[in-house]
Amino acid sequence: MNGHWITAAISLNHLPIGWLIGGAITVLVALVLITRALNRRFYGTSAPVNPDNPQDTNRGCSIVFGGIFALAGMAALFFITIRPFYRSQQAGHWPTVPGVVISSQIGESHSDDGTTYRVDIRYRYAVNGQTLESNQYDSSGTNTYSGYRSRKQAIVHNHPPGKAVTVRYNPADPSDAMLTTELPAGTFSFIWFPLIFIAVGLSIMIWLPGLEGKVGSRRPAKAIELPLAASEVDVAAVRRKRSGQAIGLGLFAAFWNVFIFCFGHFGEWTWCLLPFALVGLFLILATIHSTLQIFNPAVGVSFARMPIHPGDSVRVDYSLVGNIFAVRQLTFTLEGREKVTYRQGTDTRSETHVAWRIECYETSNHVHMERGNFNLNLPADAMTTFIAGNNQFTWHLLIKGDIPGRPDIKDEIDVTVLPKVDARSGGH
Amino acid sequence: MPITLTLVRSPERAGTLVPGSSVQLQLAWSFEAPAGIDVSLVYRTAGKGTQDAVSVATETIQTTAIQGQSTITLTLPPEAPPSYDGKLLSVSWFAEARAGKKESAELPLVVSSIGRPITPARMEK
Repeated sequence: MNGHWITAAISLNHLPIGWLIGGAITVLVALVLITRALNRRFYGTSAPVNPDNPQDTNRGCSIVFGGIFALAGMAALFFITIRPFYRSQQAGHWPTVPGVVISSQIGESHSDDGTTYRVDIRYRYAVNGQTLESNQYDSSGTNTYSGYRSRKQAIVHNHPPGKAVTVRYNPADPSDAMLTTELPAGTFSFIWFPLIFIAVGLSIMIWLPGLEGKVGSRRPAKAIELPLAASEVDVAAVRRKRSGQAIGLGLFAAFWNVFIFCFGHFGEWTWCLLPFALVGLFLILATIHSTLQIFNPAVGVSFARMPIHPGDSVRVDYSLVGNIFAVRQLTFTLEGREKVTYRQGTDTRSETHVAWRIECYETSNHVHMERGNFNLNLPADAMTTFIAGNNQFTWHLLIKGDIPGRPDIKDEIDVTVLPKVDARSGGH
Repeated sequence: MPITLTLVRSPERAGTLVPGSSVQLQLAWSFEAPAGIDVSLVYRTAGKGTQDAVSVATETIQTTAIQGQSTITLTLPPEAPPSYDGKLLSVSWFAEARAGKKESAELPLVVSSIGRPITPARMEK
């Protein structure tokens, strides 16, 4: 891939620089306006960034950082796809004159990323009695290097010195000429690359301000809102969740492997790509594993009440649907987990620790597996569900089914544990 | 100290605060000029994660007296997390009084039905 965008930018000899700067400023202003509108939609604020407010400073940094990302993506989209496409279309209407190839070779550019190439065919032509020379083969410009060596080698081979060619020239500037209106290799096949940059940049601008706004900040006094877990989770919901996970993983695996394939196929295959290819293989295997889990028997669960409180003993009814005889052992475990997120350099990391693990019930008897109940006993000194911006404590009922020779049942149901409200509250 | 905060203890509750209960605070102040005082119940996290600080109840006292005292009652929300001391995170409660940006006072509280921060020491098997 190693496209030389900077080199390409320098070769913008046919576009007024004012247009570029004006376009970039327009795009940036549009991005900021979109971000503010979306912030208002998602976070109820569109106030300007106040540098004295740490929360606003984070928001400002995210907008600037995301904006640079998005602009880089837009610039790449412009140079890789939009500009070559536009110039090819324009050149289709340009007048033609006969010309002759003077020299023909593959131009190479070496960098840490490897070697990239360009078609370097110099040709001579005459317009209105004036003899001109150019080395622009197609609409990619004269200084754009990329992969596709074999394809470029074939083009050079077909244009030996002395060969008569048809030259298309720009009537407004006859020195601007090219030999073909065919789109340069990679014009559309790499469109996803800048689109990723744009998507990531916009995501940082839109989503990160809301997340970072909670970092170390004081939230105003208000009722604590906690998502209340469902008291009944049926088999269809479990299967939907499994399907969602498999589809999500499958899409990510597809995206990753297409990305690696394009690198290897259109660019230069190097051993550096091997670890990425292995990750791609792992993702494919994980997708297969996740897909097989969809067809596992599924457990529907019903809690006698939700939320539950420390010290409570709550009856849980369950039913296993599917080929129950494939399941060797079924276990229900309640887990209380600490989860924290923190910044390390520019990365946001998260860590989870299981603070409570309570084995609730297990059976290997198929009669009991199909349908049954057990009591979920929560200790009186258990922590309650708590979700803040970067720290949370949550409870989950884990359902595991041991299936020999196939992926096991591994489902998880959220449980909300709230403090027991004191009847004597109101006096201290 | 320009501001002092004291927890008012009553014999029947023996100082135990639980989510949903009310917290009675004695506030005393002495300023050079009259100022508004915000009294809040706040919990903060500490540990490996980035700190969260959440104010769950606030009352503002507008006073023209440069010194005085007042009793304030704030209520802990029923969903408030108890004081907690875990491996990756802990939750600590405070009563906090602020007058402008300079003057403030803080009083640590324990919000827990067992009278001490909850710890995940018991791992049942």
